[in-house]
Amino acid sequence: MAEIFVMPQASPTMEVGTILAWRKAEGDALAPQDVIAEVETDKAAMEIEVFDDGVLLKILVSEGDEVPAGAPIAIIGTSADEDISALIAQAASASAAPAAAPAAEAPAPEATPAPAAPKAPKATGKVGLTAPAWNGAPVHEAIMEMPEFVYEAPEAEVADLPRSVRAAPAARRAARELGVDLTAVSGTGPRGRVLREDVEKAHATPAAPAVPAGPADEVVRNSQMRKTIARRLKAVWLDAPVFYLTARFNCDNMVAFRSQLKAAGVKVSYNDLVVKACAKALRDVPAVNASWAEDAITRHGSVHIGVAVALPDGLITPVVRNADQKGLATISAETRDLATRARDRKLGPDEYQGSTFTISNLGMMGIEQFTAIINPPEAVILAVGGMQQEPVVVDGQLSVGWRMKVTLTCDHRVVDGALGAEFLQAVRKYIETPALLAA
Amino acid sequence: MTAPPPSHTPPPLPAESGLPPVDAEMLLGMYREMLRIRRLEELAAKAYTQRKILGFCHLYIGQESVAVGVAAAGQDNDYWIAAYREHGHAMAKGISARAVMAEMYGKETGSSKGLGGSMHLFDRDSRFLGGHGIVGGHAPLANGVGWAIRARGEDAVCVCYFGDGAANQGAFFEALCLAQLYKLPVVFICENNFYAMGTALHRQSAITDMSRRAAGVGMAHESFEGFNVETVRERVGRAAAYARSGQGPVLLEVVTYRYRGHSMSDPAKYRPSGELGHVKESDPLKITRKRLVDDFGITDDQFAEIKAEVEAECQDAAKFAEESPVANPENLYAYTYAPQTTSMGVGDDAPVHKFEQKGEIAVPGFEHPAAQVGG
Amino acid sequence: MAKLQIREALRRAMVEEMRRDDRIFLMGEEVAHYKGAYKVSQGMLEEFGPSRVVDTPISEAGFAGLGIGAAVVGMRPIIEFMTWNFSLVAFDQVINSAAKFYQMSGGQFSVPVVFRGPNGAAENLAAQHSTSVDSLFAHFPGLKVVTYADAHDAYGLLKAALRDDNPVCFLESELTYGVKGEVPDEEFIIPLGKANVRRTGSDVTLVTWGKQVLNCMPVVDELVKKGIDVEFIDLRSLRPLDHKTLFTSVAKTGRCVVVQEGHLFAGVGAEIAARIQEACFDHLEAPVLRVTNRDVPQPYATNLEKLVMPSPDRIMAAIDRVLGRA
Repeated sequence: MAEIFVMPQASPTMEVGTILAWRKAEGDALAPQDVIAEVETDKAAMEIEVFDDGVLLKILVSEGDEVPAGAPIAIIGTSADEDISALIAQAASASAAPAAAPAAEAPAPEATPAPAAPKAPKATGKVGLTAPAWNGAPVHEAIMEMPEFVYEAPEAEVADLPRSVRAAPAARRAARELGVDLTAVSGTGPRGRVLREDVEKAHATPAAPAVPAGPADEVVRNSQMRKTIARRLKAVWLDAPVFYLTARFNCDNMVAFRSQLKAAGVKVSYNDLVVKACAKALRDVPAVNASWAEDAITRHGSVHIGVAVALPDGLITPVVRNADQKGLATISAETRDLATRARDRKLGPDEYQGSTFTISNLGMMGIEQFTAIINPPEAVILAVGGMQQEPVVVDGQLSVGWRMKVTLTCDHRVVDGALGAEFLQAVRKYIETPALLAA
Repeated sequence: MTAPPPSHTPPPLPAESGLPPVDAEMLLGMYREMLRIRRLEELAAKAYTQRKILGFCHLYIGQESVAVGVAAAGQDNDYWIAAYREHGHAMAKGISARAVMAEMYGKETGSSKGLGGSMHLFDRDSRFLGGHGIVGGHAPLANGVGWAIRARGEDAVCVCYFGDGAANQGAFFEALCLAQLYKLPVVFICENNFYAMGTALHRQSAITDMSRRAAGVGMAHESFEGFNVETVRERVGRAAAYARSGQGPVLLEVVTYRYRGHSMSDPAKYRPSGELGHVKESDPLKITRKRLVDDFGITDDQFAEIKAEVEAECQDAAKFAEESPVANPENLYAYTYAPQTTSMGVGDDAPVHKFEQKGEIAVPGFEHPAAQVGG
Repeated sequence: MAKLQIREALRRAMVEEMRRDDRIFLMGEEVAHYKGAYKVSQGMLEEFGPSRVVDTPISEAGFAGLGIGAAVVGMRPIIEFMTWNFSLVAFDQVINSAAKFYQMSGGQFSVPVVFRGPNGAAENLAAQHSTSVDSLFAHFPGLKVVTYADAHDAYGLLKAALRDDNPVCFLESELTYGVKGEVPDEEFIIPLGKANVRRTGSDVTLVTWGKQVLNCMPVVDELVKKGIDVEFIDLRSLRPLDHKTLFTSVAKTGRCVVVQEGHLFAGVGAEIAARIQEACFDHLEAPVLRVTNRDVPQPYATNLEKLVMPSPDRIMAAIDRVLGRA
């Protein structure tokens, strides 16, 4: 039975071989270990042998041809007058397609039984490791266990305690389990290492012993946002020397202005008007639109106003970029959109970072006046209280008017009292003469 | 001043092996066996080029007369231990072609369940103790087998095969020394094929007759050409009778030749041109076939029939290996440690094991050498 | 109950087994006529004869291999290395044959051989005669590695090694052959692979094996006096390693010091430390520390040798460190 003879793969790295010379001619008898060709590979020149008795019926490639390993190079049969046309055709199509397996078995009429499949791996479910496949067959999970030592899969939760805390592994685990804030525990170990006993002690105190047990405390893990707020505002609280300026604005005109806009189909909020007012005021008093550095104060070229938005577990300040260049309608739409997306946690980094001035408004929550903490690295922050009708004195007569209190927190390193006051005067100008907002 | 005691001179090997003379059936059987080994090795080479056998593969082609001759000279209860060119020895001792091939293919049906490969063929039933990869490293183990044979009063020998390269290894010398000291029933057979990997004999050792290694320890030794299987049978038969009778071990150098390189990765370009062609004049198969034709009238048809049978058996072995399942991953840890079967009981529950027959081992005595010399 | 020297306990174990089992023979340098280099096999030649208590030439590879070959065909030899330093000459035999024979043969031939002899430093024996081979042999799957601290364990563990159907490296100690200990008159066997918690405690785990157990005992006493509740573990088996006892202990104490002979780099202590930090990570209060031979070939001079070996003050210092007081 004639067979296709393929280019053998002499070494694991061999991909192709070049026929240097045929040592046998078509029609030659072959015996086992006869050399039929000399081939050059990536390593060296090698001799190709046959290992069966036969006759070289057809040479399929010529001297000088480069042939991939596994591709047909000859047809070897048992007698010189065999019909090998089918094999020649098969070899031609095999050469056209990229060579696959190096085995050269002629298509036998009877089907050879497929090799028995390797046993399917038993599911032991013991170890959290993925068994790699080998030679196509998945490796039995049991072999991933070392018989003398069972590897314990790591815990799924990530230790989310800050790495800056020196704590022994046992202490970290105790802190996780007891809900103790490792940063608040003072360590008694070497170099201040927090030990398990320190954690346990911190957990046990400072409850008053005689008090009967009430409802259980709820321990709320600090989210990333809470941690960020804490970190940044604590830093600026410790760092910046601040003072506060409070002003009371006459909002009668602003109320009327807003009604007019509403009648004309432009819906804006009072906060939008405040944003625009501040934006223009920042252009009038640019020294306030600034940031402190040790050797220089940077006066920002653009006016990006952050508007504080309350979230269920914190707050965020989406930024209205270039607020001075935007019309009221735009500011209103953007602010609404940003606030919605902020609550949905869908803001991109450039949407909540990069403000040069921030406004915080608690007026809708019944707050008359408050002092806000600066949003670093800004120089000031404006806290807007509620607008309400108050008894006022106009030309010596008692009357009713809309009034609103704002408090400007100023970083004294950047903004001195007069400068802050000057800024608030500018804001007042726009609030009390809202027509200027359009100018 | 006392003189050291005299060195041991081993008694001579018997003049004859005592084996029955060779007849047609026996010789035909030996021819068939050699052909069977050669054919399987050729198919192994083919499989290696097809990357069905991987790693190292050392072929015995050309040396078949040695293993077959020794098998004919020995008994079934003899133990054999060999190096890594041991496919022929394994088959001659009784491992089936199927089990040998499947082992080389790394299949579960191999003689070592795919855990050993070409260099580590073992079979308990036929007393074939491997298959060892460290050159000369297995020689000391042969002495242990010889020790067990003597201690249990068995009528058997241990045949230890190795090459000319191994005869330079330290452990080998130690093995010879101990074998002779305790007069163990071991027949050391050095298959000197003139090359240790690529290094020719005269470049490894100033003495090129490896049997003379035995002279240094007082062991009986002989050297002869092993191309004629009948010669091997007769000469090894004499040595086996000697060892079996308790006179001591024997080191035989059997001059032979491997037609291929050290392993499948070795193109053997270190041989002078013409050497292989010259040696093939003494091809063991050729020699025995001529003898069968000339002296026993065996016909071409009979040879053709043998060839067809051998071909069928070897092709079947290759097919079996191809179709067998790969080595079972469940066995990965199964054979690192043997399961504990010996009881850990104490007192009356403690295991007792007495030999039915006991032998004494000729450990040299304790009389002080000074007492031997007068004065 | 009798007070036996360790050498007598070892002898008793071998003799009892050899009386019952013809397959066992003892082979090594000076074991017969000389009565054993350390007199462990004294009297055995007279009882069992020269075919079973066998003097060898100085050919470690030769007679180690002989033992292995005998074992694969059903004998149960005891191969004595005069010291484990010389086992290195037979390293190929033990590793490439004894450890691997069973696997290479696909489970057809097991190797029930016991290699035994004194291991580690004695005194002033210098670089080539002070080697501790624990980690070298424990590294290889297929071998078992066992050691003892006292006469009781020497007897019980050697009995187990002789019954074991696998190759066992039994590590003795030259310095303690003469140390006496209580050994029950009745026969008993200590299973391999089981550590001995010699003292339970909750502050710190002290792990060691072999003759270092004896060196650690005064340290343990000292610690207890200081009010440190030390848990003291004698491992006994290095391979298989009783990791369960170790993990249970360190999970309790959170602190561990390993004392070993053998050099620091890749010693058995390194394996123990690695496993403990893998399994007991959350329970650790301090890193696992090792007190070992320093990484130098053993010097000859007494003062230098003392600096090399684990000593009570070095052990104490390590304990102090893991307790966080250093």
